[in-house]
Amino acid sequence: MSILKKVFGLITGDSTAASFSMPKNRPLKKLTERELLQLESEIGAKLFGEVPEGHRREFFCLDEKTWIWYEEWKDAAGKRHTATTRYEVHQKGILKVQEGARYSFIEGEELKNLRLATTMYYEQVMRGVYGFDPKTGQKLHANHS
Amino acid sequence: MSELTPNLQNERVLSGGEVRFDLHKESEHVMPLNEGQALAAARLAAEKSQQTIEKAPTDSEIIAIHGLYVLQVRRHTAVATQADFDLAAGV
Repeated sequence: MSILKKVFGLITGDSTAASFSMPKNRPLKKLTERELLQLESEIGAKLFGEVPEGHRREFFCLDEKTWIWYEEWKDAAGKRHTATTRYEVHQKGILKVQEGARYSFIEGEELKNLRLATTMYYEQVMRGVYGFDPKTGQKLHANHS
Repeated sequence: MSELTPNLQNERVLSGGEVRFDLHKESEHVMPLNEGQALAAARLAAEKSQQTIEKAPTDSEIIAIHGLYVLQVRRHTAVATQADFDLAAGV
């Protein structure tokens, strides 16, 4: 089981959650919080362009103070690798937490890139999942679902 | 010969019939500023307006607010979802 699935499992209590996919013409009202998170994650995974073959990428807002970046790939020998990075919102800034007890407050280009990613995530999730105009907060009239 | 004539609107009759020029009203008259005064006034106005303009949010604050917004909408939608289920189930 991947770390991402474990994360989903911990959040949602459902170990099969990561296989959830967005149904066409879904009725938004019938989705639960965990399902909404999974729909957001699908959008987050596509924010950074084409995912290289053999790679899997996820990016999502776990809660109001945590963003998760997950990357999974296989090396030339076919060995599977995973990397999970957690970005935590703190008073002092954004703390980057990686496996192996590596902690650091991000700054410069990395901080700017994360800001751009969360902005794109917010804008696309508001439109694509919730049907709101991210600028005005007004419900979109178009058939967004 | 021109003379300074009192502006009657700016005069006040004090007790005892004494008439005094009203300096307060006179001070409200707009006097042309010389260049130095105009620059000083502009600088002061700029400083005052600067104090009222909120500083632009930092990258960290923008990241935090996006997370907060997403969570609020997600939870609000999910609560509505649960309410719909409850309603359908007759809870």
